[in-house]
Amino acid sequence: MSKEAGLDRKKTDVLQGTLDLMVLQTLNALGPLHGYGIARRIEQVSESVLELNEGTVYTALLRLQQQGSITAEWGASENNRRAKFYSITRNGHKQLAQEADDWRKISETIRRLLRLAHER
Amino acid sequence: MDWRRRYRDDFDEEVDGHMAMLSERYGSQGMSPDEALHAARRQFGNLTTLKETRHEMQISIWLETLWQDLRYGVRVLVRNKAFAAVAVLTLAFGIGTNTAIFTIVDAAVLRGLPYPNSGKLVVLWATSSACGSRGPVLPIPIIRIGGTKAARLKPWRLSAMPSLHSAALIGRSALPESSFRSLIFRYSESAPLWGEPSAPMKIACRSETP
Repeated sequence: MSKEAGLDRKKTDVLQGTLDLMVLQTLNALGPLHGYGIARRIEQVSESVLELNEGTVYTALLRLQQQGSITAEWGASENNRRAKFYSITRNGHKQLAQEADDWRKISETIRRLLRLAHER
Repeated sequence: MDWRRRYRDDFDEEVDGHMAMLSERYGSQGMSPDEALHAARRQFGNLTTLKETRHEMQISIWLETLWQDLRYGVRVLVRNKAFAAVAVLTLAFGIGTNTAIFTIVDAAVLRGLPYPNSGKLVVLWATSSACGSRGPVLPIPIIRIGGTKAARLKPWRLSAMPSLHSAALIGRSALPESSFRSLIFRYSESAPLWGEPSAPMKIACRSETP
C-alpha cells in the first residue's frame, strides 16, 4: 500500500509540469470538454502508459482557469448529466504555443543528452 | 464565505459527475456496481488531498493577486507623480478636516464636562417676576440655609463652580471635588423674587446621587 502511494507520488510529480500542457492541447484539439473527457483523452493518447490520478486533472484545470488560459461553463454531457465544460481562450492558445515550444526544446535536449551518454 | 461555499458545492457536483461516469464505464466493463464505485474512487485518487490542494491554490492565488495589485498601484503612483501628489493631498486634507471637526464635536457634544458626576449637572431656570424674563438664573432669596419656606425640591448639593463662570453669591464657592452636603436648598414659587434680575448667575446644581 505504502509502496503504491510512493509510486503514485512519483507519477504525479513527473506529470505536474506537463499536465497543464496536455490539458491545453486536448482542449485545443477537441474543443470544449469536461474533466472526465479530458482524462479519457489523455488516457487514450498515452495508451495507458501514463496512469494519472484523474483528480489531478482538476488541479491543472483550476490553475489554467486562474491564469485565464481556459474558461468553464456548465452544460449537459452526452448522457445528459450536468457537467462543467472547459474551453481554451485566446490567452490559452498563446500559452499552449509557448509551452509546446519549451517542451520541444527540453525534450530535444534530453534526447541529445541521452544519445551522447549512450554513445560513450 | 457564501461564494466560497457555492464554489465548493460546484466542485463537489463536478467530482460527483466524474465519479458517476467512471463507475458507469467500469460497470459496462462487467464490474458489479460496488466494484465499479471502488475502481472509480481508485482511479480518481485522494479526493481530500485534491480539495486541500485546490484550497491552498486559491488562497495563494488570491494573495498573489493582492500583491500584484499593490505593486501595480505603487508603480502607477510613482509614474504619475502629479496625480500621486494630488491624491495624497486630497487624502491629507480630508483626514485633517475630519479630525478637526471630530475634535470639536467630541469636546463640545460627545464628551461630558470634566467634573465628577458631570452627567448630573443641571441648570436651574426661573422666571423673574420683576422683569418677566426667563433664564438660567438663581435669584438670591430662594437660597436659604436652613430656611423655613415650604420645600418643593429635595435637598440639592449646591456647588457654584468658578470654572463654570459662576460665582457663589452665598458663602463660599465649592470646588468641583467638594460640595456643600449640608446646604439645604429650598425653592418656593410663592417666594418673592427680588434681587437684581439683570445680573443673572449661571448655577450648576448637582442632585444627590440616589
